[in-house]
Amino acid sequence: MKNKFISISLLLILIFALTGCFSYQDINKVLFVTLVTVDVTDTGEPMMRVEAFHAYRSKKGQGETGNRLVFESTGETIFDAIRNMNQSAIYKMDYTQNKVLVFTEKAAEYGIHKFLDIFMRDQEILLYPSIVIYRGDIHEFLHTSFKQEDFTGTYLNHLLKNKVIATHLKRNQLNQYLNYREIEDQVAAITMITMEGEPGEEKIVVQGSCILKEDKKVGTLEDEKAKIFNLLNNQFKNGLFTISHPNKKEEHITLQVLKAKTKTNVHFESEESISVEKNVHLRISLGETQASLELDQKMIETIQKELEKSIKKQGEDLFHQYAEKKIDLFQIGEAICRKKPSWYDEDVFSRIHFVVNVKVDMTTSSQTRGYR
Amino acid sequence: MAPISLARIQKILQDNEDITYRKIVNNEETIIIIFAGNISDAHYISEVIIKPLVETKEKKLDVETIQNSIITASNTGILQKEEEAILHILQGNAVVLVPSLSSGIFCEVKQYKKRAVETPPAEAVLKGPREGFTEDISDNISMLTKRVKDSRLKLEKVHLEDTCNTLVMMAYLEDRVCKKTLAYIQEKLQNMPPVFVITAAKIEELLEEKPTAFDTIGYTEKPDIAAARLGEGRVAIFVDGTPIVLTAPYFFLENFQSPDDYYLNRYTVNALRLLRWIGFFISVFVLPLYLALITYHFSLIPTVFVFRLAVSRAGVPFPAILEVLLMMFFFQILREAGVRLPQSVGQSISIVGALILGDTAINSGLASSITVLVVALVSISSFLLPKVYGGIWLWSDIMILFSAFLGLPGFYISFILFWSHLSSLRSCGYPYLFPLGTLKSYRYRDVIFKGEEMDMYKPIFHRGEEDEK
Repeated sequence: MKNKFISISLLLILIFALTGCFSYQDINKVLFVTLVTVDVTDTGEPMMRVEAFHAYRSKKGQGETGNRLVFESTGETIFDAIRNMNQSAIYKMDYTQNKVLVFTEKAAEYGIHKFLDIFMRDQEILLYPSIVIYRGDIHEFLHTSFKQEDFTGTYLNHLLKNKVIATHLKRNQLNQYLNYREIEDQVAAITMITMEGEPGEEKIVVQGSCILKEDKKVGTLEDEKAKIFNLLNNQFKNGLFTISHPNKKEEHITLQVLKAKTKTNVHFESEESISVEKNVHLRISLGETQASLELDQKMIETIQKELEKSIKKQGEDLFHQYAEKKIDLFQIGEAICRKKPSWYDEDVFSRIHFVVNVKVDMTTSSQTRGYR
Repeated sequence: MAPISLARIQKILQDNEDITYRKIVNNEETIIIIFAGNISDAHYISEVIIKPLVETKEKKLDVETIQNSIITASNTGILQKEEEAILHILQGNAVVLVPSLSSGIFCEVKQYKKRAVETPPAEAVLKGPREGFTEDISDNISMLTKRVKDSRLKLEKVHLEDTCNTLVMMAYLEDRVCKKTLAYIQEKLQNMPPVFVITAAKIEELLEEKPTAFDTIGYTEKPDIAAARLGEGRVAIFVDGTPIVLTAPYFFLENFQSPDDYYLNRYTVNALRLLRWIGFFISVFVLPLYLALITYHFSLIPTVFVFRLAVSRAGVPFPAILEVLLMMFFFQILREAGVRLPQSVGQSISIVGALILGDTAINSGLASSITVLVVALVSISSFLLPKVYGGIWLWSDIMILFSAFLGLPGFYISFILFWSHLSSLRSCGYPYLFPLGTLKSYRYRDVIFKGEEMDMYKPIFHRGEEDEK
């Protein structure tokens, strides 16, 4: 009897303790949000637009169908905007299927810190959607029908997971971005997108990365720089590098990266001299050549050296370009703060000796030597 | 000892038109032969009892002389009590009474109308023996002893307080049987309250330790299976008038075994066993899980499928829980109709009913196509395990209600309750989930997958209580 009483009590405790987040909701009585965009008005109020899926029974042919809805609202806060949006919605909006959170470039320039709280803490909003910055007119973006997918959110989600892009441009999820906010300097690179193409043939295009410091846009990295940035941060798996043809300078060769690995060593020699080494190891193969090429050992060494030189220069330039603006692109400040917290100050970048060491191994076919 | 009185017997059996009294007078001695005409062999009685009594030249006709020198029946005995005489008459034997001596003899002359040995429809096999038990206990015992030609085979008659005097017998192999189980069954049967008619179901209920929808006592209609179970050390209980033989103890894992498993290729059998396990998990857990996902946890469903689910339910006016219960109810009606009708009609009803009901339920907006699909999948899966069907149905419904009220936490709670219930069950002193959960090595070679044929049918209960630690 005592055991039964304990079992029933435990059951009741579980019932009330475990069911706080959700309540019974039929799947057809919900609007599924597939894309959330956050913009900012000229007065600094958040403007929220969402794309949602609505299932209903159509009068035409008496069949069940679904359609795409776009909602738009502003409010004092994002939560306020969400509530305002529900005033015109047939059912409650469900954010569990939202795969992408888009901030406009304008919002990024204004600073997104004011808008993040609800996405971080609300139990009905998930933490794993991708986060991107949109460059262009967000109203037009949401009201454009793309041919590749009916739903812009789904299209964008698949685009960001496209292997060719995903291997050399890092996709940030909201939770990862929130982690960046916790480290020293709070610098993060977020993928930028835009819309291109003739009317009726519009496509979403990934356009490098946007650099945010303390939730505010401080710069952009175009495709090539974003690639170097990801390579030096050991987030580049494979991709392409194009260099000048060793024999004909006006022509090019494209090298395919098969494997890439970057190790970072920070040497704390003295407070005045901190040396940071980025040791990059690449395994590549020849992808394409615009002019004939005899791929003997000498030529291989020439190509390797050319690529090593190119990456080293681009990497060191990128560091210095942002170091001048006191932006810690490679999270070196965090490494210093962990090991020598007293050495860290605002001028630390002027004391850092940043070196990129690149080692390229070119693999070739054992039989094919001449590329004519 | 009270003398056997013809008058009292006639009084007790006075309104029974089936009883025949044949009077023979020989050498001035009157002899009465009493038998039930419809359940005894009249021709045999004439040949082995009446004719010898009429033709005898013996002067002294006492019971010993009649039994030893006159009657030529194979099985005879001297009666001591009136009750015995009445019991023999009602069982179809003839009672030879010498009124002047107030004593009698019984002769076995019973001849019942009985069914021929047929293939049991519920345990049909592709490769194995076809014969199945019948309603006649002596036929059933003969089918068993034909297979187990072992002097250690014990066939115990169980005396029960039953107004119909149903014959119940217990069979076991003396050297292999689990003593604990045997003692448990004997004690339960001895303490059985008086009932009108003993059936296998009554004994099954008596031996159950806890109310449950799962069978904790096994049953079979096939003598080869009964023999195999005796070989493992189990006890078989035969009840006259029932073509089913009870076997105890019975474990949960046996629900996944089929008669064909022991005649087909081992690897094919194990693949089928895996299929049955998958079927079991589908039939118990898929519907509650489906309900929890489509009413609480949309984030766990892929986006494209969420859209499809939402569209398919768009025209359904009822909540998902009602939709699921309605479809389950329809299915149960169909199943019951299919089972109760004659086989040829039942099959057509099931197919036509399922097609029409499923299609019209979707078209009329009573249910979504995906729910119909899930209910159909669950229902078909439950057919893989006919022995555990009741338990599956009941527990699936309980889990559906938990999932509908609490979502996944409800599903987990009911999942734990389900396994706790199964773990708490016992079969004749053994845990129902045996040998799962035992720490000691066990001899049972037929757990989830079937072991090698040479390892099968070995005694599995030698260590008695140690087995369940």
